Amino acid sequence: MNYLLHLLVYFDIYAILALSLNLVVGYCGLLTLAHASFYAIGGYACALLMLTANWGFLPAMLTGAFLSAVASLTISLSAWRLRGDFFVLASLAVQTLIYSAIYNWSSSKYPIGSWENLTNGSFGLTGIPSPKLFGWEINGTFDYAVFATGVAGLCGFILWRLKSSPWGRLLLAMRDDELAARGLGKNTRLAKIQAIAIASAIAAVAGALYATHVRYLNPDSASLDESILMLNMVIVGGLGNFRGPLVGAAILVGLPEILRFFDFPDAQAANLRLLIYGLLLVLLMHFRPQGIAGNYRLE
Amino acid sequence: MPTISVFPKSEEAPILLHAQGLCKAFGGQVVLDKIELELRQGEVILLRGENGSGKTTLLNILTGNLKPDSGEINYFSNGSPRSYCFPQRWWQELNPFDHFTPEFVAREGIGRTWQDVRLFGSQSLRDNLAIAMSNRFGDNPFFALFSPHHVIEREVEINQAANTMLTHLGLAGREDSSADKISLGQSKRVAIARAVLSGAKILFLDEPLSGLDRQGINDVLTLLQSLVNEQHLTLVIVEHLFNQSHLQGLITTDWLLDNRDITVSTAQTPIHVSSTDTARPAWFSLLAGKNTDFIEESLPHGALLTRIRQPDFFNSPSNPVLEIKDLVINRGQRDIIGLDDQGDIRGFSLTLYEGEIVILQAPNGWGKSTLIGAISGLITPRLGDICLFGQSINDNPVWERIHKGLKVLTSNEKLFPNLSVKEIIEITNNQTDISIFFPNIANRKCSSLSGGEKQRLAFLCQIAPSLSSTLNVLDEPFHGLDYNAVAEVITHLLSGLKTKAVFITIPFGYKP
Ligand SMILES: Nc1ncnc2c1ncn2[C@@H]1O[C@H](COP(=O)(O)OP(=O)(O)OP(=O)(O)O)[C@@H](O)[C@H]1O
Ligand SMILES: [Mg+2]
Repeated sequence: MNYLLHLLVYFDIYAILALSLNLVVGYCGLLTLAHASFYAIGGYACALLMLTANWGFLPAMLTGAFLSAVASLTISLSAWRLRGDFFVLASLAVQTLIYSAIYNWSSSKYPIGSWENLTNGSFGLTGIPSPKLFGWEINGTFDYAVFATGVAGLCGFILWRLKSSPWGRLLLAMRDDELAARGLGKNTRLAKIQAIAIASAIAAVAGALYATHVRYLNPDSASLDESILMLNMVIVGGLGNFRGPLVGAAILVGLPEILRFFDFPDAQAANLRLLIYGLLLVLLMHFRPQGIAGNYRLE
Repeated sequence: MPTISVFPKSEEAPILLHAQGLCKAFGGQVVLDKIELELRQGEVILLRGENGSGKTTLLNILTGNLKPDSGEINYFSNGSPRSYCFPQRWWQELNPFDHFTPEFVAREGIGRTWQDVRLFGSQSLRDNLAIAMSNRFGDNPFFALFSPHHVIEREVEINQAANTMLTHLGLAGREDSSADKISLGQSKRVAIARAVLSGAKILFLDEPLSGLDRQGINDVLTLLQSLVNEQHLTLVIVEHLFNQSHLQGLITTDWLLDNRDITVSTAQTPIHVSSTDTARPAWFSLLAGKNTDFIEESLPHGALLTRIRQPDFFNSPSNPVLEIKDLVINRGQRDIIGLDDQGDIRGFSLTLYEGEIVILQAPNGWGKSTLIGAISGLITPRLGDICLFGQSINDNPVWERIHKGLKVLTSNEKLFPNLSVKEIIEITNNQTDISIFFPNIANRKCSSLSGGEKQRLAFLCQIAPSLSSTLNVLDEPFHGLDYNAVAEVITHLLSGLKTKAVFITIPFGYKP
């Protein structure tokens, strides 16, 4: 039972990530590899504020979301001019930058969270307190699963409302033909900044959930692998609508667990998983380029 | 240079746009030189000029898509005047509220349509129109999230307006079809409506009639007429020679771009060569030369086949070049080619003999491009046979068909955008030296060519006279070309017509 609840929390976290990433990839047509960076910024900001400044979960999480949205300007400003491959490269640069900042911002002589040793480098942050919300101490796995599902539901609702609003329609129009949208007087640059900032802020919420659930955070959560996993979820599940990323998140969270039942030694299982991811992606691109449940195909 | 302006009835109408001293050069090539122009409310302007004379460039400048090198543009169309002076200072570029960009110019009441339509393909027709209307709250994610009732109130209005407009366009009941599933004529009208709903007072239309059959042309003309009469919009229409006659009666003023300058006159006289409903397009006679023997045959669904037999090369209907037998082609669930007028499957058959030029005129949606796709091997027919020089080519992939002597010019020929004209000519490996046709632009990148220049290049590269026997298949080959260019490419086509046949398709007539 506990195991299933853990799985549910993971699904919640990745559902939030995939849905928010879909706002950028599926709705704006901008393939980004930097999503994990914003997820990590959210996680680190929340964890550090709770650890060192004794902030409550809610203000810490919201601050993380805000910082993440500000940091997302690095990729949205490059999206003003760049599209396609060049935007992917720009986002990769941002990803590398943030990852190495998190990885290297440490110095063993100083306490964690000080200006000199902000992230504690590769050792990561340990002992992150569990969240407390309006007197509700969220401690057990069951409580946490309820909480995470609630947060995921809220994020999903926000994204759903945005996507079905005229603003969401504007994003789709911009994806189809940016120049035509500008010719109608639409400020597409602003729309891109907004979309990327919102997606990053929501990814930061997922980061805060992860940090307080596992209670340990290291630079791996900002790694390129993590970004690619999120992208995989969106692409496998399907771009440009609401159910696609949910399907993708369910498959890619569930797959390693299914493998677990076959009793492979751990080392092999990890490799096998990568193999299956790769195979899944290749088969999908060939037979169903819009993803399992999507309605937009990346060019 | 002096500009002659005659504004008979609209002399008192308010000026909506004034530009002076507009210059634009690409590299060393001056395209526009100190252009001065003025637009008054209710005017309908025909902007004409040869291929490469700068029509699209001028349109791009006036709609904020391209900055002129120098000059001044004043917009009075939106109540408060706004003027832009060029060259701009660097600090003007930094001011976020004074950019000369498409979106800022659009807010001055300037709308435009593109030659290649550019609807938002994945969205419904209703959304395509709804997006044009601004929803002050809904376009802002903050309000969309926290104040949904404001957004929804306006959305209801917007959707109603969009539905009304679609009904007006004769598209009632199609509100939810996706924009890439409607015919070319319909999509051109939706694109015009979209620009109007975005609040345009002046509408710039780049070749709104090109590629349309008679029905499509009439529908677009009716729409334009109602925009002028009922909404008093001001129109600037770029259109090529063969379609200009349709615009007579609508046009009040004529702008002729020639030799880097613009000449303004009232449009009174018929503009040029006419092609009325019954007469053939003017280039038919160029193709036929001294031979005026046209053999006509009607085909199902309103298509017309015309054969011109070259007296020097055509002997008797004995040497078939292309034989199409009982062809049935489907796209998705629907059969497109091979149905008779009752909709029963009959199979489509057609034979082209040596020395023949065969012109297939068919309405939009008839399946011309599908048929050409099947001939060239890009589309697999459901039933039937295609033979080239007596051999079946059913199982041959595209490149083998080309080795067997097939030459195809598709209607949206994709040239390599990053190669120069010279490189493209070299790639096509012609026996004749066609670089003589491009003396000035040999080193230019293909993506910077004007619409007509691209079409001319594609034509001359694809359709090269060759020593072996060939079949030339051309899908709407003259679109976007002015009279001189048409004459030139036809001469080129005929110069090599030895043991060949030519198959040309063009839009035409009404869909029954
Ligand atoms: N980006 C560019 N770089 C260099 N030259 C250009 C560029 N754009 C246009 N030109 C050149 O400027 C001239 C005018 O081009 P423009 O597209 O305005 O012609 P047009 O009148 O619209 O012609 P068409 O009837 O063929 O569409 C052409 O000779 C074209 O090759
Ligand atoms: Mg042009």
